[in-house]
Amino acid sequence: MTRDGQLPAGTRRRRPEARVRAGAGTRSGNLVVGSILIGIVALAALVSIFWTPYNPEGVFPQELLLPPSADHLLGTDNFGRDVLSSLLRGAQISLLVGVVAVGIAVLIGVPFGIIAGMHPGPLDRLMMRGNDVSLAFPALLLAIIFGAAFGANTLTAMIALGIGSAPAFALVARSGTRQVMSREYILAARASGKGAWFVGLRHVLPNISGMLIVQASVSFGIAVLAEAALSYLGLGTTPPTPSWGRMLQDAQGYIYVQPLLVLWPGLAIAIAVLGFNLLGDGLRDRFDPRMQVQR
Amino acid sequence: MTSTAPTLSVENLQVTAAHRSGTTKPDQLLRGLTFSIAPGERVGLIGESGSGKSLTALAIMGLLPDTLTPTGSIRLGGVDNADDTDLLDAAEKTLSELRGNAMAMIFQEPMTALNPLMRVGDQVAEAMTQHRTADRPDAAARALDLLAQVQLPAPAQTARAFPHQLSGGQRQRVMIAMALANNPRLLLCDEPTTALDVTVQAEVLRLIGDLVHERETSLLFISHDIGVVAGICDRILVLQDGAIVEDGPVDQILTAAQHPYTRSLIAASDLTKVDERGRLFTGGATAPATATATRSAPDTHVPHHQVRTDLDESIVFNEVAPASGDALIRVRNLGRQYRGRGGSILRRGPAISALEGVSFDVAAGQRFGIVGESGSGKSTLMRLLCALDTPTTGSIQVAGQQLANAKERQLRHFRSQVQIVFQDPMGSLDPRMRVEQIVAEPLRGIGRDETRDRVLAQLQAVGLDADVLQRFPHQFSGGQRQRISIARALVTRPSVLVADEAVSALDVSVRAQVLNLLADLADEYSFTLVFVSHDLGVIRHACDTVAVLSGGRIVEAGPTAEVYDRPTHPYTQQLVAATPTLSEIAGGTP
Amino acid sequence: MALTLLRRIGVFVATLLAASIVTFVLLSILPGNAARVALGIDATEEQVAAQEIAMGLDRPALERYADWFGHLLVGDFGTSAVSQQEIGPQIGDALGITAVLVVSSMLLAVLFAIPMGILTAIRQRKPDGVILSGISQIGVSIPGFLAGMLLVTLFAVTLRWLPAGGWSDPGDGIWDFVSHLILPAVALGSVQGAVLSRYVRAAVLEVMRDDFLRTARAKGLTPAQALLKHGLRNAAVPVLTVLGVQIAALLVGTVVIERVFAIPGLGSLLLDTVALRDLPSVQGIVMVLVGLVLVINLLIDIAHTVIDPRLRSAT
Repeated sequence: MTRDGQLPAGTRRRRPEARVRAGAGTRSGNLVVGSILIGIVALAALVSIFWTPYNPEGVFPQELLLPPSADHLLGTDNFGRDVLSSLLRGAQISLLVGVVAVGIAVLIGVPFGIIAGMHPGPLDRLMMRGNDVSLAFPALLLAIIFGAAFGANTLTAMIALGIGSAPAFALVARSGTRQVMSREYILAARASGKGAWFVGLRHVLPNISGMLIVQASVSFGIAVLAEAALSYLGLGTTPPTPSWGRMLQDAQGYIYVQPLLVLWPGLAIAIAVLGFNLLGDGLRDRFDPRMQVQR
Repeated sequence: MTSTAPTLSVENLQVTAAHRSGTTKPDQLLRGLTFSIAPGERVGLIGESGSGKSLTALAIMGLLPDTLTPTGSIRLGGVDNADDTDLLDAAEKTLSELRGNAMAMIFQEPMTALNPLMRVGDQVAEAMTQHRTADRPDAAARALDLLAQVQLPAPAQTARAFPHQLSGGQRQRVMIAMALANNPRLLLCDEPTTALDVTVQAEVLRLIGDLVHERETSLLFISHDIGVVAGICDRILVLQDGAIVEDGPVDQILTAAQHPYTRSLIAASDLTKVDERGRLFTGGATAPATATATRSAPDTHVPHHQVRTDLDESIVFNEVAPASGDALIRVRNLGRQYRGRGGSILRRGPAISALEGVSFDVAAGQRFGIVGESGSGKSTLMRLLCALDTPTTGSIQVAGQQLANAKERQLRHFRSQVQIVFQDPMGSLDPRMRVEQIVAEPLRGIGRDETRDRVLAQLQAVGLDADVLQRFPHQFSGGQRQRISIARALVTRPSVLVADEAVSALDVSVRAQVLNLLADLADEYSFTLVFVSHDLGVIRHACDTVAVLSGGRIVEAGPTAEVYDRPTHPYTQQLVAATPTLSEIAGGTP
Repeated sequence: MALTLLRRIGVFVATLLAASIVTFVLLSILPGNAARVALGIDATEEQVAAQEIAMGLDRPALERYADWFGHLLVGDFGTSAVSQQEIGPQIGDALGITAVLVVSSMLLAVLFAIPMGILTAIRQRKPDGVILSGISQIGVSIPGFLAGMLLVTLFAVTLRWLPAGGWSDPGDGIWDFVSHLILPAVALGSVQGAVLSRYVRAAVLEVMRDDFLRTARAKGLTPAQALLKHGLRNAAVPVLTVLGVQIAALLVGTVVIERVFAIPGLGSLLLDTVALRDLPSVQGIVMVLVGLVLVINLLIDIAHTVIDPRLRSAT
């Protein structure tokens, strides 16, 4: 049966104004803009593997703190390095951390969530308690702790962020699995003699993939933010590898001399994260309108 | 109190949806409706899903979403400040003053219609304080009064309760109280009883009828169920695809409808009229019934009419005598208890008894019905019969297989012998799988080519052709999806087909088609049918024997015609009384 | 009602315990030898051995855990592996400062998020709603410390209205205190506020589709009245849930912001001890942070039960 009649809110009737049909428009708009932004970042990372305008790793005492010019489109930093080149190379790290962290989170969190969703009982309750505990350890904090315990570098950061983002995936996977399990086609599968593995892989997983992809987009954005924060704090990517976060840390020292240096890496971070958030929003409107977990 | 001006007069009401990107023309959801309702008149609006009946009510109330544009005129008469004002031109402020005051509406889903965070009494009182027909202390007192009028027990306590503490029927009564609080001229009801149990439905309908009669309120009652509408209304409007195709008094519509659509709707709704092959009328045929509507059990087994008179009695219903061959299904003393919700890591939830002391047989070739309302245990029984759950006590034997404590390995053959058709055509097919994969799922141990052939043959047997193989469920209508479900269930040629509310979610005309299809296939493949439903009318048509389930126990069982015509157990009597058939209404039998 | 409360407190205690075990495992068991880590690579074997005994590392893990947790309960947060002094007092001082920062940021965030979220929800399809929504999207994408640095660039470097960093106690002068508090609180509050506003928006959008709002309008409430009297309280329920998750993020954000503004709070303390690999100190500080988050979540849970009668157990 169709659901007739949604509740309008605050609009007067019978005014056929030429309103921006922003409902459907923003949805696909989000997807498109998000994809473009991510595309730019990915392109930067890809290109920088083979070529950058200047060498971003090194010291060039002749060219310290130059303002933007035809030679250096975005200027140079306190080591004389071309800012644009550092930005391009920095994209690599940001994307790498995102991919690895989300990959780890998916590999840990999703199976947990599916199993908990398919077997309500003590196992499920235990998982929910575990989730409560993980609430107190957001990804960034975990990365700081790992940095203290095991030494701070890109690898520990990636692993810590991955583990820290796993509970969000477990939660989403579990809630999606429970929805699927309540459907009659699962009963039909069981009535056809299909076992838990089959049901989980062939029925549950394809049907929750949408919400998992949305969560992946959100978590990717968070990972990029966290990596930037860690590098800014000196707990992430170590020199000489360029990282947007560390560029911010350097820039802060010269804020009275060349305030523009703060702008460029900040813009890069904002573009990347905005891209993932818009993509996530656009995908969410396509797949599942319920709220996602932001961890 | 009587005036000659109609309470409601609708002229050329059209509702258009702004076109979505991709389509060229706007959708016309309502195409120029014109009708009126006199003071105190009770008018029913009948239509199938998508006909626009809910939209009509929302348009009158001014609650259409802003993506829909209504044109035409709607006038509410007999009200001081609204005489001759076209509601469609009125400002939001005027409409807010009329809603809940001069005109009121009750919706379909009682479970979500009330604010979960506010006490029920306060919500009823709000209807009065909003329109300043009473100040706060008075409104609270009048709310208690209204709760009593809608026959809610202990009104003072109920008023302090929150919605989640009330049942669906109780919540709907609260809605009625809220709607009638300010004595509206016009009451709109949009499928108010569709989500309720049959016995509760009968009570709520009677309540609405009485209250509306007392206050001489005009009524517009919307439903897909002609039986319900015919019982409460004087006049019926028939809606098809956004247009009124017929408008006339109840008697005339039921016995001598003019429009072919109306006739086919009536014919399909009447489960007591069948043609000479025992099939329901689906296509507007007006051939008179030539056969009795109920079928009989196979000659080898004659069921007896049995009643449980006291709780301790353990009867085996429909017992199959050894002389007539083995029972295909043999259930003895079946019980299922489990722990409800509210458990924690340390403690399990409270014990709930879903089934207790259930014993019955089903002979091969029977069409066995199990009828019960929500909470009767019929879903649990269905799952136990299909080995989707294990019993706590007792034994079940189906198709030669003992089910209690059987391991999945042992059930391999059983799985191919017992299959299910479910209620929800939307939810019973995996939206991510293609039709071919779906129908092939129960098959195992045969090669790809043979699988494909069998799937295709089965789909054709249910009236679908080869193009459907690679499509996804969302590309089909409800009726077609149900056919796919049936194909899946029959692809292994099971000896038992369990239909779990298989037609409850379908439009009336589609329901008739699917029931006929099931009957055809049952004849062709000779399977035993177990039909679980809350709808006594459907069971009466489709089954030769019925068992009535209440509170986890069978209270009565026997040949359908007998149980229906001469119900003995008080619960069965209640159930039968609450299920009107059209022929009774038309013929004037109360 | 009382029973539900007790259950919640029980859950809180259990979670605190579990979190302490996680912290202990991460910082005392897994890294191996805390003594070696603290002393660095140049330490000799004798120095490490002596330090081990001084720190009690030769005892079995369970005993060390029980000892540590027991001390925690009486307020002894352990001894620094580097300075050999108790970290409790330092934590106390730093906690006060961080608490002020956290509370003011949270207030700002909530004050910003609620109207913003509601507005972007009800004006969803209008141009101004879309623009506002876009602004909050951008706000979500900026890390807190970047917002801090941008604010410093504008207000401290360019306009010279406010100090670029540091901290001043309220006792030393109200204006000094406020001027040092504004930029970090606004930086953190606006970013967290943007995140929160998106959740408020989603919650309000959900509620606007709920049946009971339609019932309210059928009763004669105007759209605004329906939303205010019926919708918002219901929307608060999922928002409260999210707030609980966001608190942890806010606290961690504070850690980073303190570095931007050189504020001597708990965050700076944490980062300093991490840089020195002073694991026992890190452990103590982490426990305080975790404890804070869990306590705030407990309060939010209780608020939940007060607002939503469905959550009260019907025993």
